[in-house]
Amino acid sequence: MKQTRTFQRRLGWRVGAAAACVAMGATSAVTATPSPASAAGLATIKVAMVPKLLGLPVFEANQKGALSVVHELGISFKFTAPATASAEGQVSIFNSLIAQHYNVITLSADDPTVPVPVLQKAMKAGIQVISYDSDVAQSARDFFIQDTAYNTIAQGVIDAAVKFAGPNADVAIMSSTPDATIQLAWIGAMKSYIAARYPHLKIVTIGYGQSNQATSLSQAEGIIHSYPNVKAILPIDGAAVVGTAQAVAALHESGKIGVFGIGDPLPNQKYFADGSMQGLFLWNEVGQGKLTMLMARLAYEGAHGAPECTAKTPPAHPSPSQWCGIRTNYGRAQYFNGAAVGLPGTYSIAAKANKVSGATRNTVIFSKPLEFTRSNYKKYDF
Amino acid sequence: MTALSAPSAPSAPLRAGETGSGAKRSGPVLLGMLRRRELQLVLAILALGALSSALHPSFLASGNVSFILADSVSTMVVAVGQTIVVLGRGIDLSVSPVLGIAAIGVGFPAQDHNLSIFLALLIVLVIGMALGAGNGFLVAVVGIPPIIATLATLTIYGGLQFIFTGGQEVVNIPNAYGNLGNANMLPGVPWLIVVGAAVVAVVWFWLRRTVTGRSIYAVGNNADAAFRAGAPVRRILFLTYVVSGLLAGLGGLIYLCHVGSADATTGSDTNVNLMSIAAALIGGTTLLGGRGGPVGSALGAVFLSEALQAMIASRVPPIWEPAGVGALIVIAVITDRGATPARLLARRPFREPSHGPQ
Repeated sequence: MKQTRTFQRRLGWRVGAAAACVAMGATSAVTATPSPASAAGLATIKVAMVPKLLGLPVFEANQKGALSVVHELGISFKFTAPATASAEGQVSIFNSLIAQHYNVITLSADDPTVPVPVLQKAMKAGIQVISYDSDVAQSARDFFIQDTAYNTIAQGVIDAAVKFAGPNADVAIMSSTPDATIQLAWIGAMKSYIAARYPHLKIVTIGYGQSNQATSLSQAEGIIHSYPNVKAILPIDGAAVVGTAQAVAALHESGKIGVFGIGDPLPNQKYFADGSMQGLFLWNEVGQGKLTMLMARLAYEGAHGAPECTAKTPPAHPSPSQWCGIRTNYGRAQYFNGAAVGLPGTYSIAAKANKVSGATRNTVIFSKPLEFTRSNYKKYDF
Repeated sequence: MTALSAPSAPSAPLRAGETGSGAKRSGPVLLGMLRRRELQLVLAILALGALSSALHPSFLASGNVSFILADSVSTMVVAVGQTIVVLGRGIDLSVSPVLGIAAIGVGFPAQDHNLSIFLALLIVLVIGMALGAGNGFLVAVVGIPPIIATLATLTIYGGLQFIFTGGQEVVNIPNAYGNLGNANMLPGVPWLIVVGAAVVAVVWFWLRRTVTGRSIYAVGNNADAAFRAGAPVRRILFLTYVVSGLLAGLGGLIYLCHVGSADATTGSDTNVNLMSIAAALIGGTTLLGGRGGPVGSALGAVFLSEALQAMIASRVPPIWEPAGVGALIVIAVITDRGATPARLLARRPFREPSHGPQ
């Protein structure tokens, strides 16, 4: 169990910062500096990780992953973000990072266009900009780490639902808001996969839980009552997953209506245990934080004369003289090994956009989704 | 439902609590009753139920009825608190984070240390009263206009809620909470609605049958006159915010039991501010103070919850649902004939007249 910290302790160390933090747009930061001996021969670089806002479990999991590898990558690390999901808040953070001469800025963008000028200013100043999770305009970043391929995760969810409910069933989708970019992309990918593979599977409605559990709960309950033939509900947003499972459990439909979604296993342990949740898909958020830091190092090396990462199997644990670099102007696919931060396999940076996976230029697709089921959910702590 | 039906008109001399515009007693009794907003709402709730079940037979199935009622209770309890503040001619825009802080304040200890539900009840009431006292201090002691004071605390409390969660979510509450949040006393009668009805009954009694309660109406009607008549206006205003906070805190516990989770944005993300004010307005409480009551607000909350499920059942495209709720609020405000914009803008904080009571 990761949530062993008590509420009291949580209060204790945070109350001191409360006065400074309550104002809108206040930020807080976590920093870690490697001891000089840690990364022998590697120049220490300053890398900032700037998620959409503080306090979301997904971004905390990214941070956890990043913190576990900054030591061996010779990174002086800072985690900072606005207190609310505010694009303007991110802009002022980027400005201050530029002033502090950071080497690499990694970010999950609150808005794709608002931070463009400030990030372009950063790139002009020689700072490598890497977006992850939520991209900015391509002109304002060097690389983007996409969570997972849209088609793979959509196929995972649909295949699991069909296995449970059959290829002719009625299913419903529970999303976040009607304008959420990534959810729209997933819904699109689900629809095209259904059209190609299961033409008799019918999506009867798409409910919107507005990214909160209470609205998701009401919506899912309404769907269960209003569409009695629905055999599976597919929640594709963290709050929708919890709300849908809660609705199925509250209406005693556990096991009769399948719930297959996209979300973390930890918040849903209860629903896996009582049988109201059958399957979830997600990338490894902790691992994604590690990859982000590895990319930061490689991008820095690429900009400072290291040879191009081209071989499909670069050394797993490069000595300082063996580091390769990644750059945006090589114009062809680049490959690097994840073993340096404990990630299995080789990653590729696509030089061109790919409509099926959703990848844009200079994008790394982080991983295939993990599948969490009633038999394996206990193994994961995010 | 019967527990919520409209009370008979009070026979006490102070007329302030009357919902009808003129409280004419000469007309036929039935017609007079139809003017009461509570009765109108009961009829509207029944009519909407009948209409929806004609479109979709399972709408009035006991499972759905019980869900609609249970889903309305956290809004209901907060709306009753909001009503008390509005009756005193104030407004409380900080109920969202008060509900949220209460929900996480007991949610984490419940999840990590199996906090008992009775202790949780005590804690949310204390949290709610403390935060409400903050509002009361700014409005009644410092004299800041309510809309500004509670907008400020909305931000402050929202920030605190954020800090307290530290990026964690409450996701795994003990069964005792979930059972209270979703179990039924009888088919179609969830335990939560019993809790809601009890709160409404207590507040109704307090407002109608005690001196302090009646004074809130008097203060809301005319604070200067109430002051001259010897009512401790500042103390009463302070009290309305404390009770509003207390009920918002209770709403947080009810939310936690019903929804089963809570996080940094709980309360704000479901627009508890707006929904509580909407329920009060739909229930016949006017923003001008001095008129309305908890029964109407409770029925307003049930009506909002029913309307949402009716929209889903009648296959209104989900994208239109927020617009539907907004339309209900507009209708409620239009039918609230006393609340013209000019009179709303004329609202000002209470100041003791320079020449005190004789």
